[in-house]
Amino acid sequence: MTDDLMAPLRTKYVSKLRDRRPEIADFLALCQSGQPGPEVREEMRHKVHGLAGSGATYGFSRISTTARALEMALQSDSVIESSILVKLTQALLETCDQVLGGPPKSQS
Amino acid sequence: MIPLSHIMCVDDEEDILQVTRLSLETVGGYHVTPCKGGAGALEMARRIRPNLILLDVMMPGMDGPSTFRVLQTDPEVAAIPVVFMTAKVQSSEVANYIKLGAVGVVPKPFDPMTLPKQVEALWETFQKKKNDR
Repeated sequence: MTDDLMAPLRTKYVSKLRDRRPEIADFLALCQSGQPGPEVREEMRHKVHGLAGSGATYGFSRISTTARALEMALQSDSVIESSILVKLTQALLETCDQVLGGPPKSQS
Repeated sequence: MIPLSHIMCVDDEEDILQVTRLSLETVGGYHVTPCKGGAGALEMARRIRPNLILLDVMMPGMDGPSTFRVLQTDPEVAAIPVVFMTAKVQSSEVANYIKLGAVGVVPKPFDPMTLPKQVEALWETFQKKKNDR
Protein backbone atom coordinates (compact mmCIF):
# COMPACT_ATOMS: atom_id res chain seq x y z
CA MET A 1 0.00 0.00 0.00
CA THR A 2 1.50 3.32 -0.95
CA ASP A 3 1.73 6.33 1.33
CA ASP A 4 -0.54 8.13 -1.11
CA LEU A 5 -3.38 5.84 -0.15
CA MET A 6 -2.72 6.02 3.57
CA ALA A 7 -2.16 9.79 3.67
CA PRO A 8 -5.84 10.87 3.68
CA LEU A 9 -6.70 8.30 6.33
CA ARG A 10 -3.73 9.36 8.43
CA THR A 11 -4.86 12.98 8.19
CA LYS A 12 -8.32 12.01 9.42
CA TYR A 13 -6.77 10.01 12.23
CA VAL A 14 -4.66 12.96 13.35
CA SER A 15 -7.79 15.10 13.27
CA LYS A 16 -9.54 12.59 15.53
CA LEU A 17 -6.53 12.67 17.83
CA ARG A 18 -6.82 16.47 17.98
CA ASP A 19 -10.47 16.09 19.01
CA ARG A 20 -9.51 13.55 21.67
CA ARG A 21 -6.69 15.59 23.19
CA PRO A 22 -8.91 17.84 25.38
CA GLU A 23 -10.58 14.73 26.84
CA ILE A 24 -7.19 13.32 27.78
CA ALA A 25 -6.14 16.69 29.23
CA ASP A 26 -9.38 16.85 31.27
CA PHE A 27 -8.72 13.35 32.58
CA LEU A 28 -5.19 14.38 33.54
CA ALA A 29 -6.57 17.36 35.46
CA LEU A 30 -8.98 15.05 37.29
CA CYS A 31 -6.17 12.68 38.22
CA GLN A 32 -4.06 15.58 39.44
CA SER A 33 -6.87 16.80 41.69
CA GLY A 34 -7.66 13.39 43.15
CA GLN A 35 -8.92 9.93 42.26
CA PRO A 36 -11.31 9.95 39.26
CA GLY A 37 -14.53 8.00 39.83
CA PRO A 38 -15.14 4.52 38.38
CA GLU A 39 -17.45 5.78 35.61
CA VAL A 40 -14.93 8.36 34.47
CA ARG A 41 -12.16 5.75 34.55
CA GLU A 42 -14.24 3.29 32.53
CA GLU A 43 -15.12 5.94 29.95
CA MET A 44 -11.47 6.89 29.58
CA ARG A 45 -10.44 3.24 29.41
CA HIS A 46 -12.71 2.75 26.43
CA LYS A 47 -11.30 5.83 24.71
CA VAL A 48 -7.67 4.86 25.21
CA HIS A 49 -8.44 1.29 24.16
CA GLY A 50 -9.36 2.69 20.75
CA LEU A 51 -6.11 4.63 20.56
CA ALA A 52 -4.06 1.64 21.70
CA GLY A 53 -5.57 -0.53 19.01
CA SER A 54 -5.22 1.96 16.20
CA GLY A 55 -2.17 4.21 16.71
CA ALA A 56 0.49 1.88 15.35
CA THR A 57 -1.74 0.87 12.44
CA TYR A 58 -1.57 4.50 11.33
CA GLY A 59 2.17 4.67 11.92
CA PHE A 60 2.07 6.17 15.42
CA SER A 61 3.40 3.32 17.49
CA ARG A 62 4.04 5.43 20.58
CA ILE A 63 0.35 6.33 20.68
CA SER A 64 -0.42 2.62 20.91
CA THR A 65 2.26 2.03 23.53
CA THR A 66 1.35 4.90 25.84
CA ALA A 67 -2.40 4.39 25.40
CA ARG A 68 -2.03 0.67 26.13
CA ALA A 69 -0.10 1.41 29.33
CA LEU A 70 -2.87 3.73 30.53
CA GLU A 71 -5.56 1.25 29.50
CA MET A 72 -3.87 -1.51 31.51
CA ALA A 73 -3.70 0.72 34.58
CA LEU A 74 -7.35 1.71 34.22
CA GLN A 75 -8.55 -1.87 33.88
CA SER A 76 -6.50 -3.09 36.81
CA ASP A 77 -8.59 -4.61 39.58
CA SER A 78 -6.39 -3.09 42.23
CA VAL A 79 -6.58 0.58 43.08
CA ILE A 80 -3.99 2.49 41.12
CA GLU A 81 -2.46 5.51 42.78
CA SER A 82 -3.41 8.80 41.21
CA SER A 83 0.26 9.64 40.78
CA ILE A 84 0.68 6.64 38.46
CA LEU A 85 -2.39 7.60 36.45
CA VAL A 86 -1.01 11.13 36.22
CA LYS A 87 2.32 9.87 34.83
CA LEU A 88 0.69 7.53 32.32
CA THR A 89 -1.83 10.15 31.18
CA GLN A 90 0.94 12.74 30.85
CA ALA A 91 2.92 10.30 28.71
CA LEU A 92 -0.06 9.80 26.40
CA LEU A 93 -0.74 13.53 26.22
CA GLU A 94 2.91 14.26 25.37
CA THR A 95 2.82 11.63 22.64
CA CYS A 96 -0.36 13.17 21.23
CA ASP A 97 1.34 16.56 21.23
CA GLN A 98 4.33 15.14 19.36
CA VAL A 99 1.99 13.82 16.68
CA LEU A 100 -0.03 17.04 16.62
CA GLY A 101 3.08 19.22 16.47
CA GLY A 102 2.90 20.60 20.00
CA PRO A 103 0.24 21.45 22.58
CA PRO A 104 -2.53 23.86 21.57
CA LYS A 105 -1.73 27.50 22.24
CA SER A 106 -3.50 28.73 25.38
CA GLN A 107 -6.22 31.31 24.86
CA SER A 108 -5.38 34.48 26.75
CA MET B 1 -10.02 -24.91 -1.91
CA ILE B 2 -12.60 -22.14 -2.00
CA PRO B 3 -10.84 -18.82 -2.59
CA LEU B 4 -11.29 -16.04 -0.06
CA SER B 5 -12.95 -13.11 -1.78
CA HIS B 6 -15.48 -11.34 0.44
CA ILE B 7 -14.72 -10.26 4.00
CA MET B 8 -17.04 -8.54 6.43
CA CYS B 9 -15.34 -6.36 9.06
CA VAL B 10 -17.13 -5.52 12.29
CA ASP B 11 -15.70 -2.75 14.47
CA ASP B 12 -17.08 0.23 16.36
CA GLU B 13 -14.12 2.44 15.42
CA GLU B 14 -14.61 4.15 12.07
CA ASP B 15 -10.88 4.71 11.58
CA ILE B 16 -10.17 1.02 12.06
CA LEU B 17 -12.90 0.06 9.60
CA GLN B 18 -11.43 2.45 7.04
CA VAL B 19 -7.84 1.27 7.31
CA THR B 20 -8.89 -2.39 7.44
CA ARG B 21 -10.88 -1.95 4.27
CA LEU B 22 -8.07 -0.07 2.54
CA SER B 23 -5.56 -2.73 3.50
CA LEU B 24 -7.66 -5.75 2.54
CA GLU B 25 -8.93 -4.23 -0.71
CA THR B 26 -5.76 -2.53 -1.91
CA VAL B 27 -3.08 -4.92 -0.71
CA GLY B 28 -5.11 -8.12 -0.54
CA GLY B 29 -7.47 -7.59 -3.45
CA TYR B 30 -10.49 -8.71 -1.42
CA HIS B 31 -13.96 -7.25 -1.41
CA VAL B 32 -14.70 -5.80 2.01
CA THR B 33 -18.01 -4.86 3.61
CA PRO B 34 -17.66 -2.81 6.80
CA CYS B 35 -20.15 -3.10 9.65
CA LYS B 36 -20.07 -0.53 12.43
CA GLY B 37 -20.72 -2.40 15.66
CA GLY B 38 -22.02 -5.79 16.64
CA ALA B 39 -25.73 -4.95 16.67
CA GLY B 40 -26.12 -4.96 12.90
CA ALA B 41 -23.70 -7.82 12.22
CA LEU B 42 -26.22 -10.65 12.04
CA GLU B 43 -28.51 -8.88 9.60
CA MET B 44 -25.59 -7.82 7.41
CA ALA B 45 -24.01 -11.29 7.45
CA ARG B 46 -27.33 -12.83 6.40
CA ARG B 47 -27.66 -10.32 3.61
CA ILE B 48 -24.15 -10.36 2.12
CA ARG B 49 -22.97 -13.88 3.05
CA PRO B 50 -19.24 -13.11 3.33
CA ASN B 51 -16.58 -15.85 3.16
CA LEU B 52 -15.13 -14.66 6.46
CA ILE B 53 -15.92 -12.23 9.27
CA LEU B 54 -13.32 -10.09 11.05
CA LEU B 55 -14.80 -9.23 14.43
CA ASP B 56 -13.49 -6.72 16.96
CA VAL B 57 -13.60 -7.98 20.55
CA MET B 58 -14.12 -4.84 22.60
CA MET B 59 -17.08 -2.86 21.36
CA PRO B 60 -19.64 -0.86 23.36
CA GLY B 61 -23.06 -2.43 23.61
CA MET B 62 -22.67 -5.76 21.91
CA ASP B 63 -19.05 -6.87 22.17
CA GLY B 64 -17.27 -9.35 19.90
CA PRO B 65 -17.95 -12.56 21.84
CA SER B 66 -21.65 -11.64 22.23
CA THR B 67 -21.89 -10.90 18.51
CA PHE B 68 -20.18 -14.18 17.76
CA ARG B 69 -22.69 -16.11 19.89
CA VAL B 70 -25.59 -14.42 18.09
CA LEU B 71 -24.06 -15.34 14.71
CA GLN B 72 -23.72 -18.93 15.88
CA THR B 73 -27.42 -19.19 16.66
CA ASP B 74 -28.40 -18.53 13.04
CA PRO B 75 -28.04 -21.61 10.81
CA GLU B 76 -27.70 -19.41 7.74
CA VAL B 77 -24.49 -17.74 8.94
CA ALA B 78 -23.20 -20.03 11.69
CA ALA B 79 -20.76 -21.75 9.32
CA ILE B 80 -19.05 -18.51 8.29
CA PRO B 81 -15.59 -18.50 9.90
CA VAL B 82 -14.92 -15.69 12.35
CA VAL B 83 -11.54 -14.14 13.14
CA PHE B 84 -11.33 -11.96 16.23
CA MET B 85 -9.33 -8.74 16.16
CA THR B 86 -8.08 -7.64 19.54
CA ALA B 87 -5.31 -6.09 21.55
CA LYS B 88 -5.84 -8.79 24.19
CA VAL B 89 -3.62 -11.50 22.79
CA GLN B 90 -2.22 -13.21 25.87
CA SER B 91 -2.18 -16.96 25.27
CA SER B 92 -5.04 -17.62 27.71
CA GLU B 93 -7.18 -15.00 26.00
CA VAL B 94 -6.42 -16.37 22.52
CA ALA B 95 -7.25 -19.88 23.79
CA ASN B 96 -10.60 -18.59 25.02
CA TYR B 97 -11.45 -17.12 21.62
CA ILE B 98 -10.52 -20.36 19.87
CA LYS B 99 -12.51 -22.36 22.43
CA LEU B 100 -15.46 -20.13 21.69
CA GLY B 101 -15.22 -21.20 18.05
CA ALA B 102 -13.17 -18.51 16.30
CA VAL B 103 -10.78 -19.71 13.60
CA GLY B 104 -8.08 -17.31 14.68
CA VAL B 105 -7.06 -14.01 16.20
CA VAL B 106 -5.43 -10.98 14.59
CA PRO B 107 -3.60 -8.79 17.11
CA LYS B 108 -4.31 -5.07 17.25
CA PRO B 109 -2.73 -2.77 16.32
CA PHE B 110 -2.05 -4.46 13.00
CA ASP B 111 0.21 -3.60 10.11
CA PRO B 112 -1.94 -2.69 7.07
CA MET B 113 0.75 -4.10 4.80
CA THR B 114 0.68 -7.59 6.33
CA LEU B 115 -2.94 -7.89 7.46
CA PRO B 116 -4.11 -9.55 4.20
CA LYS B 117 -1.42 -12.25 4.54
CA GLN B 118 -2.44 -12.93 8.14
CA VAL B 119 -6.08 -13.26 7.12
CA GLU B 120 -5.22 -15.41 4.10
CA ALA B 121 -3.16 -17.76 6.29
CA LEU B 122 -6.04 -18.17 8.76
CA TRP B 123 -8.42 -18.81 5.85
CA GLU B 124 -6.15 -21.50 4.42
CA THR B 125 -5.81 -23.22 7.79
CA PHE B 126 -9.58 -23.14 8.20
CA GLN B 127 -10.11 -24.62 4.73
CA LYS B 128 -7.57 -27.41 5.32
CA LYS B 129 -9.18 -28.37 8.64
CA LYS B 130 -12.59 -28.34 6.95
CA ASN B 131 -11.35 -30.63 4.16
CA ASP B 132 -9.69 -33.00 6.64
CA ARG B 133 -12.95 -33.54 8.52
